[in-house]
Order: sequence, then C-alpha cells, then structure tokens
Amino acid sequence: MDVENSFGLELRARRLLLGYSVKKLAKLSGVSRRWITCAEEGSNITIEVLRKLMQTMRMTVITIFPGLTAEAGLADTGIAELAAAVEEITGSAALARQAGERIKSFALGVGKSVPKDTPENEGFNERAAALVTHFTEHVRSLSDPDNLQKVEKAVSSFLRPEADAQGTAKAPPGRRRKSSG
Amino acid sequence: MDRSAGERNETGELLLRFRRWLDDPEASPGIIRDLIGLDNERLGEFVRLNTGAEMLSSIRTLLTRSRESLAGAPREAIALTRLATALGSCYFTADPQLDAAVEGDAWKAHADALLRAGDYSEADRACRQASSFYTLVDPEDCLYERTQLNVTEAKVAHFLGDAERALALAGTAAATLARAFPKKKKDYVRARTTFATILVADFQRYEEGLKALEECAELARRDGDTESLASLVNNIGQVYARIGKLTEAKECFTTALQGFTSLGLKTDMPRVHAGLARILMQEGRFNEAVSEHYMARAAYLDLRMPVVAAEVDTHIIEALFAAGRTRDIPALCALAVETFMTANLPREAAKALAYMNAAAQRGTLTTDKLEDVREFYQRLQADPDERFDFD
Repeated sequence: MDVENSFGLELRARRLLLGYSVKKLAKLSGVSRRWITCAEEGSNITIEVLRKLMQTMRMTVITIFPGLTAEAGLADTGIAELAAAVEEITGSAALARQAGERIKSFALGVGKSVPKDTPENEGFNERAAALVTHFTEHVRSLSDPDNLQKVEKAVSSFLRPEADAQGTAKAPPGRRRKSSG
Repeated sequence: MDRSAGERNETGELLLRFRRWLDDPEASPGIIRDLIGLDNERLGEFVRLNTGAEMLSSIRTLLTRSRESLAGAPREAIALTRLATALGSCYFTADPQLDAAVEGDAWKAHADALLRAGDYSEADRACRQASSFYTLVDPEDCLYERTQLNVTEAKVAHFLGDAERALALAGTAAATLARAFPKKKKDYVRARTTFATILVADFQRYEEGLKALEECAELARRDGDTESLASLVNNIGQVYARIGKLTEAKECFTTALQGFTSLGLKTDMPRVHAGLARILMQEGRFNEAVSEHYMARAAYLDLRMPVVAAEVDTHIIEALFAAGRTRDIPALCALAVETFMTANLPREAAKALAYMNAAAQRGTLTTDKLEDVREFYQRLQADPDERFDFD
C-alpha cells in the first residue's frame, strides 16, 4: 500500500539523492542488499535495519505512517563510510597520478620505441649470434668481385627488408592500368 | 539551419566517429580519410572541440597505431601520421616547446612511414620538417628523438644516393646513443646496424662493416635482445637468398621465425614465411611452399591485412601451378572467395578475386592472369584508390 510504503520511497529517494547504489549503501551501512531492497519496497524490516540505513544516509526523521514519524540520532561518521571515502580518494589520486605519468611520458617521448619484455631465450640468442658470425666469415671468405657486388646489393635490404620479403615492390609504370570509374 | 551551424554539426559528427575509431579502428571505417580531407579551418574547429589532453592522447594513439601498421601496411601508417601532423599543426598549448615536440614527433613518424613505403623524397621532406620542429625544443629535451630521426635520415639518404651523409648520420646517431643513452641498447644496435650496412653496401668497407655487425650481434646476445637478433638473422637470410645460398638462408629464416614467434612479433612472422616459401619454390619443393604461404596468409588475415593475404593467395596458386596441381586451383579460389567475404576485403580487391575465381572455374586461369592480379594487389597496397579494370 502507498501509505505503508512511504518510508521505503523516502529511503530510496534519499539513496538516489546521495548517488549511492544499493551495493554501496550495503557496504556503508552493513545492511545486506536484500534488506535494503525490502526496505525500499516497504516490506517489514526491523527497527535496527531502519536505524542503520537512516544513520548511514544522515536522515534524522522518516515518516512511517501519516502522523507517525521515527527519529534517529545522527551517528558519528561511520568507520565504514570513512574507509570507503579514503578508498575512493586513494583510487582517484592513483588514477590522476597514472594519467599524469602518461601525459609526462608522452610529452617527453612520443615516438619512442616501446620496450618489449624479452623472454629468456639464451639458446636462441646464442644460435642467432653464431649465424651472424658465420655470415660475416662467409663474406670475408669471398674473393670474387661479382659475388661481393651481389652481397653489397643484398645487404641494402637490411635497411628495407619488407620490400623484398613481402613482394610489395611497385609495379613498373607501364603496367599500371587505372580506369576512370 | 544556417550553413555554419550545419558545418558545426558535421564536425561534431566527425568527432563522434573519430572517438569511436580511437576505441576500435574497425568501428569507424573511413574516418581517417575524411579527417585528412578537411580544410584547415574545419580541422581547427575539430581540434577545438577536443580538450587539450584529449587531443594529445589522440595524436599519441595515431602514432602508436601507425607504428603497429608500419611493417605490414605502410600506406595506412602514412595516412595515420599525415593526420597526426595535421592535428599537431592545429594543436596549441601554453607550452610552445611541447607543441613543437608533438609536431616533431608526428613528422618523424610520418618520415618512418614514407621510408617504409619507399617514398624517399617525401620521407626526406618529412625528416626536414621534423628536424625543424625539434630545433624549437630544448636540445636536451629531444636529444633521443633527434637521434632516432638521424637513423631515419641516414636510411633515406642511403636510398637517395647520398652515401656520405647517410654514413655520417648513422655514425653520429650510434655514437650519441652509446654516449647519452647507454641503456637504450636496442636503439644502439639498430643505429650501428644501419651504419654497418652503409659501410658494406655503399662504401665496400667490408672489414669495418662486418666487424660492426659482429659487434651488434654480440651486444644483442649479451643483452638478451632477441628481437634485434631475430631481425638481424632475418636480414641475413634475405642476403643469403639473394646470393643463392639457399641452405644458409633457410637456416636463418627458421631461426628468425623462432625468435619472432617467441616474442609474439606477428607483423614480422609472415615476412619470414614468405621468404621460406620462396626458397622452397626455388628448391622445387612446391607443396611445402604452399604450406608456408598458407601460414603467411593466415598471419596476414590475423593482422587484418586482407589485401596482402589475397596477394599471398596468388603465390599459393602459382605454387599449385608449379606442382602440377591445377585441379586444386578452382576449389582454392572458391574457398578464397568465402574466406575473404568475412575479412573485409576492399571492393576492388574483391573484384580481382572474383575475376580470378571465374577464370579458375572456367579453367582459363593462366600464370599471366595470375601475375596481373598479383600486381594489381601490390598496386592497391600502394594506392587504395586503384581500380580493378581487367578485360
């Protein structure tokens, strides 16, 4: 009934005014979410639950029935509420610090290479380094000028390997065909 | 609604699309091209709709995504960095040095992208732009970025035939990194490798060049720099393949692939698969080449690079022709149509695929037609406005 539910509506209105979710109110008041829902629906709840909710939301008076009100003394700010506030502030400060660091790192180093976590791979590294040495020895052993010239040309691909590896070399202009449409 | 109000609404709409793109590039296709197409006035209005921090973060995202697409889709990287330079030119804060640093970084990234795509003259111009912006920043504040730019400038100079300048820039960059940034060993290895390459390729100073390469490999080994070693070995594989040392090339490619795989460097992997496939083709091991090509194709699809993946398809068909498996070609083409329908293949590329499929189903697909389609895919990668118009 509407009359009976007036305290539930008041509780809900106060909760929404404070911007609390049911979950948050439950955390702050120590009342379970189920009981909060019951209270807001106007179901029977204990006086203790009502007191906790009123104190948490800093309500001094609530209408139970028309002409019948209940009062609750304001409790000191609860430890839970303080803890939640501290948690929130700490979280915001951490976020702000993180954002600040990101902006700073951006300002100091846009375009920097992103460091990668190199896995422990000593076997691979040894083998790869040996292959480089083998290559240099091979080139040193070449005496034929033609072969050396081939190496010179191929070494250029060090600076632009993808053109060779991916086959993205541009087609000769003569083969370009482009329609108007 | 008056015209200016209409334009403001359009700019607001662009901002919404751009924000969607920042969250997910697939969610807002075409927004980069649309923003590049804005005149300075509209772009300024677009920038003013953002908060300062938002704009800074957006430019940063553009540069990050350009780096990600650099290896596989340099044209995309060029578009992203072009937009970053345009936004940078309209973005002002209370700190003119920061503004100049942002613009310098955007132009540096643009130069890298142009270099990758082989536009050396444009890359040279972008390097000069970046350099001029960095001169407005306290030298100590941008020494690292300037040194990185020197490496890019060295490569550009090498390709433009200015070997003396290329050598000087690469040598200076390597020396600066060793002196001022001793912890940036990977960067040092890259700069020193560039220096060594120029010594060998442009000056035929083998002893010095090869010694520098050995030094880089040893440094990377000691430092556990698997990425640099894998990259070096991949490059050496390319050299071996070109001079006909196929066994050595294959060993290098196999090793490089292990390194890239262990590091999860997806963009580097398909290039190695392609290198291995070419060697297998030269050895006449066509079926194995097909397998390598399939791996490259899957990797490109995974990287959302459908045009390159479609180009790999033409290599697969070429290998099937070489293996005499012509009966498998129509089925492969039909399957490719199905695969690429879900891979956002651009319209013109889809037309080329359909053309190839139709020819395969009729039994009239020849290696010449295949080459035409492959060249079209290559041109499409270089120029997204390319049209498919084969008779």
